[in-house]
Amino acid sequence: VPRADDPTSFLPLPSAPLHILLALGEGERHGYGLMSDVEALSDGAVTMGPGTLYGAIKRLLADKLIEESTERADPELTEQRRRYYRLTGLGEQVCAAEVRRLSKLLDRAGSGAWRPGGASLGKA
Amino acid sequence: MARHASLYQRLLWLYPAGFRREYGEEMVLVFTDRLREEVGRRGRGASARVWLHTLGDLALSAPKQQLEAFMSRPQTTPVQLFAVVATIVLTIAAASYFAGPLALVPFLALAAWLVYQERRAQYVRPRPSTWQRWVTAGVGLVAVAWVPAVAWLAITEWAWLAMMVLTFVAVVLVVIGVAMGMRDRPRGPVAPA
Repeated sequence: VPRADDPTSFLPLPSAPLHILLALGEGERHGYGLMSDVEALSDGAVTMGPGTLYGAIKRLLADKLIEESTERADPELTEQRRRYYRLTGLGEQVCAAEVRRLSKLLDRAGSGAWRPGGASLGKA
Repeated sequence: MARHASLYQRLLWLYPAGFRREYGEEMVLVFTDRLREEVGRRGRGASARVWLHTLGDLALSAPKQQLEAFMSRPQTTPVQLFAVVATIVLTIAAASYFAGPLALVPFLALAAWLVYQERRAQYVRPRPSTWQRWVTAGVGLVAVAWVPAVAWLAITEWAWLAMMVLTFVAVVLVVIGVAMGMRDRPRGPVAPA
């Protein structure tokens, strides 16, 4: 069960929430901004529709990994009808922990511990 | 663009009411932004591509949100969950062996009961009574019991026996539920608070 005092208890993150957290790492975004950034971040591999996007946002808000932002960093960009979202402190920690986990996994895979059709990860 | 937005807004009906209220307006904005950008970049034909992607998203995310909403309701019981899952699975099964309009009657009855209970739980009272749960279980069981018959499957003697036993149990459940409901009805004038 995810606990606020232990960011690793949220791991592993599903694909959509992870991409949203990564996109919010660059600053607050509204829904369509997030959708576009996620697509750009993943080189078009992850394309979310509105249902998937807001389903993930709902979950992230409930877990307090993101929050609605009421003040705009740039008031010129404010669109009253839109809601903007930003990372919380816990969200940053969880995102960092997930990135570390994935990096470690990729390091192990890249170091030759895993070969297609050959040995699996872990001790030889 | 307004026509597309209006159509998408109608499709949002497939999501749970709470989710729709919270995010519906934003979802329509996101959809129209996407449509506008794609049409601007690739021409009018791109709208079909956006719709295809959006309908795929709808087909995957709406049932997920419905199930989440259903599971998160404090009054959801395992019996209700079983009834909902059974209705979905068995309606698909019956539809694939569809042999007549009668095939859908038990499932429609179950769906109607669940919708009634959902509305009642949402607007009239916070939790369904025990008698409602018994009736739901009974109606659900009838729907399950009569799948082989309504789907016109080959019914062996054992299958008939099982159907009859299940139907009997279902009737008992409904009768118990109705009896409880009758007993729960307030008698006489209600005392002022």
